[in-house]
Amino acid sequence: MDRDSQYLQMFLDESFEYIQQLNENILELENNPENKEIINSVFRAAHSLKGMAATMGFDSLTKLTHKIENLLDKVRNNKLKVTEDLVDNLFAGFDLIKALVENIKEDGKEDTEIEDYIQALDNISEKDISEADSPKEEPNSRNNQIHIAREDYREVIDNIKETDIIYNISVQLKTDSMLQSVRAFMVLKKAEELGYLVKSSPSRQQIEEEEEITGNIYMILISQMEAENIKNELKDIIDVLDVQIETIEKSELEKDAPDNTQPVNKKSINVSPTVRVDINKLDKLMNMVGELLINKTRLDGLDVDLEIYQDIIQQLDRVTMELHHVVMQIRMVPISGIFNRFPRMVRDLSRDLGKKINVKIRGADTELDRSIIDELADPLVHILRNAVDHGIETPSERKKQGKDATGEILLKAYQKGSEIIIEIADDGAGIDADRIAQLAVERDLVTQEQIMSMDKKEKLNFIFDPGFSTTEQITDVSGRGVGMDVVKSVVKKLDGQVKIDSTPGKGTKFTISLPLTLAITQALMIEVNDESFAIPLNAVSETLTLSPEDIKQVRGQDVIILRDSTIPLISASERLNYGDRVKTYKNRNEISVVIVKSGEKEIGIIVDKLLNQQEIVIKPLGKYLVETRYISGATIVGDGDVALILDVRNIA
Amino acid sequence: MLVADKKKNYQKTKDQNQLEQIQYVVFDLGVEEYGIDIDLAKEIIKPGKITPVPNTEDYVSGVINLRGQIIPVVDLYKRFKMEREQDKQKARIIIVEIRDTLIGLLVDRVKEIIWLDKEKIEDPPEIAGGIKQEFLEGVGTLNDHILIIVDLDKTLFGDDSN
Repeated sequence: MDRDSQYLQMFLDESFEYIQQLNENILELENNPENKEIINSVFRAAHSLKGMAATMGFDSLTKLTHKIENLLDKVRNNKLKVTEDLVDNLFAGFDLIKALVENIKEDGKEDTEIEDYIQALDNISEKDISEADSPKEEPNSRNNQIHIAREDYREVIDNIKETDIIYNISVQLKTDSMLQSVRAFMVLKKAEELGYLVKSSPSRQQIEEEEEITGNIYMILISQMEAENIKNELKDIIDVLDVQIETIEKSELEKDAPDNTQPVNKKSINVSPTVRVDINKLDKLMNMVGELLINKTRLDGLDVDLEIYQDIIQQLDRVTMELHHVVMQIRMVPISGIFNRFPRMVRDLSRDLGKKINVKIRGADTELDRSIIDELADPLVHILRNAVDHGIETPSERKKQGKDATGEILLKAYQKGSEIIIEIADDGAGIDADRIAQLAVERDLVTQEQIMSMDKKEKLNFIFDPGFSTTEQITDVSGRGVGMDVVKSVVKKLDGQVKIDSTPGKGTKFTISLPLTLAITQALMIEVNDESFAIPLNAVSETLTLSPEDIKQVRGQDVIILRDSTIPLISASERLNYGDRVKTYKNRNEISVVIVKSGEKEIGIIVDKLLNQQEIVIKPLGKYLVETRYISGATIVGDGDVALILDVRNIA
Repeated sequence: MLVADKKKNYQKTKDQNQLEQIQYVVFDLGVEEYGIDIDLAKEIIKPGKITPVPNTEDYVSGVINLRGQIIPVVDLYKRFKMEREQDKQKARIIIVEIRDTLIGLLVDRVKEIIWLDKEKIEDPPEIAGGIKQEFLEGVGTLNDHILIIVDLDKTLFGDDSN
């Protein structure tokens, strides 16, 4: 990658992060209009965006962010109140910023029109300023007056030593100097020599970018030197007319400093340095680790009777395990990356529909493999849209039902064993299982007789059937159930499961369970019909060897009784169509059974042979065979052959 | 004629008559010769172990490991519902890329690669070599014999209603 495109990529990545941050913060601000922390955080994000855009030479983006920054500055200085209107305006602005950044990503040009918006912003700024009761201030002094923002206090406190003194310095430069910015630069440079320069106005960056320097230079400096000495040093610089210096009491700062543990501030301190890495490189690394594992397994299989060989194998085993672990860690990203987009989306949708919805997020820092996260956004959007459109009722309807006028959607993620569970619950109208079943009958997905023996969950599951949703009318937001088949197929592709539960009048809950990672997993190898198959270990609860008399019959179904529970037995050979309808396993003396769990259900899968446990690299069967029943993927085993992975959840 | 001349000649004819030529990979299935567009073909390999995949169509032989990638293999004999009578030694798998997917085609023998004028390709007859018309793109004449050109997209992704 050449330098330019490298910078561009960084610019794009960071821009999208800032846009996300802006959206999140404004949502928060709408709920807590008085929270200065949030305003400052928003302001900083906008400011950083502006700086980056200016550095990269994107004029429209610079102009737009500059306007927004100005607006935010007014909010920060209490000249503007946070109203719903203002929030809408800010969101519109962020959408424009996003559109511009996307333009840049596509073809490097800023194609989106921003003038109308800027005009609109200018209007509200003027209108609201005249209304706002801001104290009149001397012109010019306000803009340049340095003030230590609360978030800077922490920086000051963290960098200060016992003997240090904090100074607030104001340097007056000769106004007719030809080299204002050079002089200003010299002042800052000198200050940096004298101590730790916390902040200056104008900043070093502003000076380097040769912004017009007018008026005084203000600085916050931590130093062990006497005030008088600092003053003299600064005065020695050419064109410096006067230096004012005063000390700031440490205790004053500590009192006001924001608490380190507050989440708002968590990014700023004590974070290890990070690098951005192209995801493709990580994928490649993962593949290499996979290859390494396969070859390690092959070595393992060699029958070498040498002490040193065993030694080496053990070492190799340890290193590959650790390597695998580290690579997995690198690929893990918090689910907040997608969760945090949703409050904004729900807000916009619900406003269009005249509904009031509160989105609650729990467990946003739950980590998932990057490749899973990327795939997950779409299904979640479908579920949420349905919840907003059909789940949550209008405020008046809710009141009639005796519910709070504001509906609630709870997004929750957590880890459970080697799985990640994501729940999306709304307290809306719920879905009537019988009505779903009736619709399914109308669409010939099922017969009336079949429905009779179905329970609620089985009936509700019809909404995931492709034949169910495609025939529905599509409204603006989403048709009833439209896209639910997409949810199911994506989740299935990720080797996960989606479940629905709903109570009419109370709400609907979707539960998605996903494996922690897709790439590499521990598996139990088994043999059926002379072929090896892998069963992911996270689905296996135990393995048993039975004798024929252990097998009982319940209503024609073979079962075993295990610790007081009745577990149905299923022949893998039959499921895989190797023809075992006559239950030949009953003729064996020893019957190997793998007990697997799927949700709350446990079943026993009868296999021909239990082989061993090993690490496998999961590979997809590919688009051509994607819908294959009971097979979820393939892996390459020691000898280079392919072994299929049993989709035990669906067998169950 | 020198190769260069040949090329020139070919170029000339092509320009003058605006003849469009297509390059085909020619392979055998039984006694007939078949062709597929060379642009689709990625490589030709000798079949190693093919792992059968249960619950798939009978013409899917299984999957193979091609340098770490899992690739499905379709047995064209079975797809075209023909009786197998070949000598397995010469069997090959042609790896094709279609609809962004790699798929292996199990055939008897890969013979050659040829150019064919587009206008020499005729619409497929009802039945050619015992194969249903829907799987065919056309029939070309090659010297003295017939080359059956396979419509891979329909063959691999077409509806198998029978």
